[in-house]
Amino acid sequence: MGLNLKVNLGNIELQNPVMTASGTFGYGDEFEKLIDLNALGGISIKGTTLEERQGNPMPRIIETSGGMLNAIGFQNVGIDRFIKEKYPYLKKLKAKTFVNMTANTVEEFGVLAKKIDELDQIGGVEVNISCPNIKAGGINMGTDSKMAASVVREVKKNTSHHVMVKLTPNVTDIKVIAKAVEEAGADSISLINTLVGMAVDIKTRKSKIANVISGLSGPAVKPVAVKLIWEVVNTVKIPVVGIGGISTAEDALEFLIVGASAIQVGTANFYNPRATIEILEGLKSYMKENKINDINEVIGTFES
Amino acid sequence: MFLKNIVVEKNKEVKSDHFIMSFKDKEIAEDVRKGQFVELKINDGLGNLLRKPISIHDVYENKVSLLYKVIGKGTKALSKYKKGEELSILGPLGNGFPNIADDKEILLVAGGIGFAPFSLIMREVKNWKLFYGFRDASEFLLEGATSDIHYENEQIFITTDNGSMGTKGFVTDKLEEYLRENSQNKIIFSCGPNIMMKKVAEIANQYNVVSYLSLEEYMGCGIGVCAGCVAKIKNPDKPDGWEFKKVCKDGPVFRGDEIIWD
Repeated sequence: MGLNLKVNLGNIELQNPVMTASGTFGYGDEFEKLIDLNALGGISIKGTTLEERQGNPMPRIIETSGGMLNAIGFQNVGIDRFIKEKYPYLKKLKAKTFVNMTANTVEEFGVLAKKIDELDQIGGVEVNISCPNIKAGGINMGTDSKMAASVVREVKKNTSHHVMVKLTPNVTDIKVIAKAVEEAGADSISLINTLVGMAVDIKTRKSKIANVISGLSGPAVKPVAVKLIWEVVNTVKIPVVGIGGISTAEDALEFLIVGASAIQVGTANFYNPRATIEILEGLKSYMKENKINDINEVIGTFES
Repeated sequence: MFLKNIVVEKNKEVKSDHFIMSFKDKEIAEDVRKGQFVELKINDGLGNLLRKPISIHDVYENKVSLLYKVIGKGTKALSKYKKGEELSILGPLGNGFPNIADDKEILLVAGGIGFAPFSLIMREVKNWKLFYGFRDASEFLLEGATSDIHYENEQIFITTDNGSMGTKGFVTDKLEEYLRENSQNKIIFSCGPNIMMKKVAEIANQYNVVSYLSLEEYMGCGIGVCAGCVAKIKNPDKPDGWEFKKVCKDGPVFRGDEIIWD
């Protein structure tokens, strides 16, 4: 009896619900000696900007209890080099590529989307809207429902690909933002991006991270993520992809049960490069043990 | 590069706070290049979530040894591992030091625990001199760590901060003295505190000697995906004349004249 792990994100089918989270998996090839990339459901690439970026000064990361803080600042090769140097490798994989992108103006999101639209063998774009709008006084676009919606409309206008919108948890009411991006045409929502935080060196009394403000990820954020995903699932009709501290199959199942159609593994890739594969195997074991033939029978079965 | 569990064969304090951990693994032993490192997953709860980078100290037959100093919670937890316990290892990682033709003399410049990667070089390369600086005689790692490597006393120049061994003063002063005599056909490999390596790079530049420096940095993943450990490296093709390179993947060894020190 074969198990079905295929899941749908609207018009996109993934061979299984296990994806990798942006910024934790490079462009996939870094892991080719460590795991079978063709076994994954999807790969969300390192956040890509219009121009190549050098990123923030050091130090950029620090370990915390059950997690880590990072402020990398989108060090990446830029969209043109991504298309030329990285895409040819990714497009051959069975795992669907999601081109994670970010920009500092609404217009720039449109330019990026147009470039990505040319790529015929990707799963979709993942729009990171948690970044400052330099034309609007530096307001974080992911925290303003109007700005978030205008980014999504601009991206949709410029690409026919699946548009996944990645939400920040650092908002008063995530339901408002989720609703706004759905109405603006998002095909799916992924969350959570990192929780903003700080860490202080008590000897120097300075920040442990050069950028001062940084993003918390890892197992410590998982309960926060599960709750926010549950709220969003109950607010929108489009599929939701769960992210936040997932490192085991049990973690992934919590997200699927509250209604995520797929999950992304992030920080766990750093300390356990085989985390995605182990999660996949664990999901299969769970299905066998519970006599479940189709993973879709697990999704959204939370009993409240 | 391998990801596997190894069985600790030895994890012994060789000098105060300095430990050697060794294990047997044919694949890793055969794959190692001089100056590479491994990432260890220390299982002591959530306090050490990320892997910890540790220098490969020596490889002899199928035995790989790591030399580390207990400085934080990661190395402290690592020092508690006992013979027979398992540990997840990722590596060998990084680019390592380049291969050098025999007619060149390699000047190894080590500061404190920065001595760690040099044992393998001293074993594999014939033509070397070691310039080794540390704070106090109790931190001298050459005996405790690598007793089976043969060398002549003339090959080694020692300095200590307090004069308890060798010459009192900076190891970089010894290096300069040596190069002042003769700087022909020399190449420098260095590992140690940044302040020392910056001086090594200056001296190398002054005497027109090529230097390769192994940088130490806090790392998130060890394979170049988190971009958490970067160093400013000259690149005339970039708008600012430099770029952030990943210490774990593009390094940890960089040419001294290409590093920009902030």
